[in-house]
Amino acid sequence: MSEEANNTEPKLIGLMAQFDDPDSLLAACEKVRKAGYTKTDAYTPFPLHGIDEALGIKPTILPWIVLTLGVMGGFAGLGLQYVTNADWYPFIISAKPVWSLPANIPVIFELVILHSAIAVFIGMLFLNKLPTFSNPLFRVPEFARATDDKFFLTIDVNDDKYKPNKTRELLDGLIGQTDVIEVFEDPSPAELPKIIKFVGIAATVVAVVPPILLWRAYYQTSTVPRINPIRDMDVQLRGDTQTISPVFADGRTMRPRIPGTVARGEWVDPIMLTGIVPEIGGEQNVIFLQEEDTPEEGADKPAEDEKPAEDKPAAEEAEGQQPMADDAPAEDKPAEEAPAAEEKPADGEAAAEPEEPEPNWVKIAPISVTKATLERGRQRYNIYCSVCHGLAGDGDGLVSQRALQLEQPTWIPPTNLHTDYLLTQPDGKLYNTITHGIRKMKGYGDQIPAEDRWAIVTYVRALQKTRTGTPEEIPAVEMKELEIKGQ
Amino acid sequence: MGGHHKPTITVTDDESIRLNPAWQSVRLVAMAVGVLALLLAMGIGLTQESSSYFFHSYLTSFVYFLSISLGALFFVPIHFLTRAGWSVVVRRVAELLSQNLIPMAILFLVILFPVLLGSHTLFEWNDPAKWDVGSPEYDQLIAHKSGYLNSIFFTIRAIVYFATWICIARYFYLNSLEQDGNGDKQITLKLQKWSSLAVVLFALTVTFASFDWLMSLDPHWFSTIFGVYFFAGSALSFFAFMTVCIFLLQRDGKMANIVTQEHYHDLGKYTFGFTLFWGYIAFSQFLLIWYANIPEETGWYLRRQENGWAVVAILLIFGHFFLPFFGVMSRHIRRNKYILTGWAVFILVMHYVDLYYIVMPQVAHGTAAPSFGLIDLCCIVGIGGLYISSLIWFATDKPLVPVKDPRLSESLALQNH
Repeated sequence: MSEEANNTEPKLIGLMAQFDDPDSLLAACEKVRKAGYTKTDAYTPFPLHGIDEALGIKPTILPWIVLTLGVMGGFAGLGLQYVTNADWYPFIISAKPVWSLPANIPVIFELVILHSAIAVFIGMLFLNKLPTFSNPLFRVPEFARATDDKFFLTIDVNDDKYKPNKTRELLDGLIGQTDVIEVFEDPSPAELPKIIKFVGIAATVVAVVPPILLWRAYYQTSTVPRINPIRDMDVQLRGDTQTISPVFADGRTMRPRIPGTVARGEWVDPIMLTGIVPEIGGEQNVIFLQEEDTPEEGADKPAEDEKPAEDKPAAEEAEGQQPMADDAPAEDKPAEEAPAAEEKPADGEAAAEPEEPEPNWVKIAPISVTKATLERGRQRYNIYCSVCHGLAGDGDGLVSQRALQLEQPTWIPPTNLHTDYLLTQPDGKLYNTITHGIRKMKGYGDQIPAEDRWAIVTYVRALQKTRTGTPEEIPAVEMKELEIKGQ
Repeated sequence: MGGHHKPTITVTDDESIRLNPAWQSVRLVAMAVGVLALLLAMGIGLTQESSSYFFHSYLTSFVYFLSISLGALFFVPIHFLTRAGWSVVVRRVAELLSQNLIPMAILFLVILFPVLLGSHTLFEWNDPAKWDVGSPEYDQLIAHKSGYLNSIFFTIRAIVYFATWICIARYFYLNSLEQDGNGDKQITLKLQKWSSLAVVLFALTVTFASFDWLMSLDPHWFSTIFGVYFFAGSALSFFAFMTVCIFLLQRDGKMANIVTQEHYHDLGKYTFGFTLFWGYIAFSQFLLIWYANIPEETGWYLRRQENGWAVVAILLIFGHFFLPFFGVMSRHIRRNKYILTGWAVFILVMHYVDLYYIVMPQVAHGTAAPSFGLIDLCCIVGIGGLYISSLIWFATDKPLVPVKDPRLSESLALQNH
């Protein structure tokens, strides 16, 4: 409010008629409505039946707001459960489908109720233009009795029908009317007092601090353990990977697979798993379970033997077996001859492994080779193999280069993958080498799933093709493309 | 308060609130058709190879009409217990409906006598071979429950149920009629006082009656919420039936200015509320059994999902819940007596399907597909005919509105907001 306004007469905003009984008010409302007034309102000490019709108040749209929000809440509940149960955490609990409607209905029901209740509350406030902290009517002393024993009817000056004298006459002429009061605009400034503003800003600033601190604690790296005021699910009573468990005799939290079993969903076709075509007569299971007995998986043995804390001896035992077989002969020979060592096993091997003819290796990788497979193989090869074998497979990986540079006496340079020996090797054998390792090379069976190992095999074949392939082998269409690219 | 600006309606105890004499011929026809239909049903059902189908079908129809009267028996004491004002004008109709518990008690003899005579076509637990350890049909669970489920105790309980119900129904009705004569306000206070006891007795008897007559059809199965489930359906069917009754009375020009759009609106609210309540309870029973997956509980639902019963179950989900729920949700529909009565008829049909779904899969231990045949039709027409006939008989020459109830003016001036 400007200085000027303060000095002048306050602005008239409406006329208010006072009544002593509800029936007079209802009759007055009828009359005012019939006279064409629309910006009217009535104030009574108690809810009055029929006042809506008398004033011509339209039915509220609140039920529609509630219905809309309620239905939305129902779909939100359904969606929430679908996403969490079927998509993010698809766990089967007590043999129920991961997502089934009956189990979802209580949550849907509750969310419909919650959303409806919130919609009623917020919608009611919104439609009533609440909260309103001040109303010019409060400045009229007589109006206080609207909560006690008086009934009021107001007409806004902004009403289209409003004419200063005519409206006044209409109100004066109402039956049962005891007083007609002019209502003036509130002259006090509409601005917030400074102190409230200051406190508001200060409170907002202070309120922002804890979230910022929390954000910082959660998303910034720190050298000290982070402050964790709400532990939620960060700290749980559960066994973590690589921790000691007091429950089991061997102290391991992660439980090894029970020998002779396959975990649900982990079954892999034996040929796929071993790269060996089993002999007729089917000892598939035996061959399949051989993986359990390989040195790399030797750690499983203690559980089988039920010897406590056997990790170390088992590992030693395991190393003691295979290295003797693979390393010993390799160490005797120059690195370039390594392939030969595989072809004709040295005498030492026979001692460790029972006399066995060369297994029936799978000739061609038992997976469908697509561009995606090769891409996967390339990716896995670059991650696991290229450090030693080099990105192109020449046996010149960085690790090897460095080892040679340092003149490490025990270092055996990795095999060049483009040698004739490897070119003619069946896929199954190549796969077996990746799985179980050879000489200094560690087996990767534990780290790389079978499918990826086959992908690596196919990628190695592709690498080899880069040296042996001829233009004739390229399909005409692709050749054309290459020619275009080459230009 | 709302009455101030409305013209005051007065109720005079004259022809305008009495049953149209034309209904007397309906009463006779209904009686004759009812008796004939029942005899026909018995004739077909009892001469069949197995009378099992007849008894199950009879039980379905019997419980169907019983539940309407039980809903009325719930409504009248609740009206007094809550000191309700709006429902005074429709209370007499509910009182008359509750009087029909007397003929229902007689119709129950068709079920009770065979049980006393040792028949176990309807109630498997009545077979002595099931209790006999030496018998090849020995059933440990039924033997264990035989302390409760035996014909003598069953009969005693049935007598207690009907005695309780008829006492409550008569007490409220006769007092209400007395007030019509002398206008004594003390009567209202007296009924208010006794209504709390009536409601407690009602809850207990209805729960156990539903256990005895419906749940024990499968004596291995149990569901603690079953009584509530039966009650929800009963109350819903009662409100639907009362809406139809009042609609028919008004079509004759009776209670013309007495029962208004506002009362239909309130009956519609009850219908809507109990539709939701039925769905809520039916689903609660199903969800817990489905989730817990305990064999002794799931058997009942398994039987009702095989041999075509799953279709009936889905029909109930939509027909007994979703359709009427959204159907009577709108205020505009509840205030339209024609549409509301249409929904009431629909709900009454679905309530029969609900009871059919509870009872009939027990025939031949659930191996039979759902079928609606002549026996079912005769049973429902037979019991229904006798029910309507007796209802008209009770209503004849009685004022259909409690003319001197102290809250009558409040009810007449009812306005919904």
